[in-house]
Amino acid sequence: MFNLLPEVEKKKILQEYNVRRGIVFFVFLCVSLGIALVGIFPSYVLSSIKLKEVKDNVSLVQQSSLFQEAGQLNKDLSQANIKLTALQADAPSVLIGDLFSRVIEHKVVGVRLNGLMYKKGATKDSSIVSLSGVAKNRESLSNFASELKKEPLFKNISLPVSSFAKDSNAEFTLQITGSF
Amino acid sequence: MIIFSLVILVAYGFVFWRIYTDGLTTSDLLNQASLDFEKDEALRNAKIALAENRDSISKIDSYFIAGDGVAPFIGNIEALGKQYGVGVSIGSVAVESDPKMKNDFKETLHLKVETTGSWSNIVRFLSAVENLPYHVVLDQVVFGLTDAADKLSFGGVSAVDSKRVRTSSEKWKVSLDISLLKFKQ
Repeated sequence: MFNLLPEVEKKKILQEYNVRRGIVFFVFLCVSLGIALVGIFPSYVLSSIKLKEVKDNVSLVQQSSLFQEAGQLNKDLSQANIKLTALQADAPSVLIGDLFSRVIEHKVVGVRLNGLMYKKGATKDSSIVSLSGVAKNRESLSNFASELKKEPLFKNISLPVSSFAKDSNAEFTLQITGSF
Repeated sequence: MIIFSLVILVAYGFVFWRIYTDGLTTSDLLNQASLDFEKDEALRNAKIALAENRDSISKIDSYFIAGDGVAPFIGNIEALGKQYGVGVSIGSVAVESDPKMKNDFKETLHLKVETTGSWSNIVRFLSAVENLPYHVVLDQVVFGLTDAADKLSFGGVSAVDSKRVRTSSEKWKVSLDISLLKFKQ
């Protein structure tokens, strides 16, 4: 039947079909988008409400009196911390009076001291105690050095060989290094 | 119809984009809120700790010599000398700031103190100085025996060593280099 129609009529009918198809397509598209829009709207409302709620909470916390005091609190804490750090630096590990007492404890009978010196080192391990005195004989001096070496606080005992030159009434200088 | 479809499409896109951006913003804000809550908790604890330790914190200041407290401190040292029976003379007084630290709240007070007295008195004085309620650092201590009549010599080479008897004139001279922390004036 369709094939019996003239060519012009055929074209007109096909054009009419295409227009109808287009209308049906766009109607469906509109309906679909409309349904999607209606469907997505509650999500939009919920997300907006959630956003507002979170914004309110954040501003509430940030406006709290504690947050306003944060600067002052930080200042107080850092000042206390700086003062404590200053006090901790250079804190002596042993009192000098005790240090000299420990030296005296190790003194043997044939040794007499006439000078003691303590010098604080730049680092903790480089402090020095220097002793000077008179030893009755070489053996006494050697014993004194050996006794001092037993003290765990003293890292190194330095006694110049020249101190052993005289056998009696030998004047000596002895140097002790350690972390004190 | 086409225009109507386009309008609905644009509206849908806009709503979808808003939901997406709102979700991102909410996520960021939730993270921010979480950090704020942690900060709030930390601040609360810090405030409690500061309130509980207020006395201890204010006590820290007492370990520093006050800005105008040098003269009273020297007076204390001299009084301590009298108390322990040692002669005290102040050799030098100097104040030093750390050039590396600008706006530093503290400076170091260096004192050179000369003392004379018996061994036991000087050791007790030294202990008292070290135990003063300040940040006392002894940079150098030099003990020297003065007026030992026998010059500590041993008489003869006897195997038996008699104990040496100290004479009454025997004194020790001690030089102390003391460093203390003080507040700037």
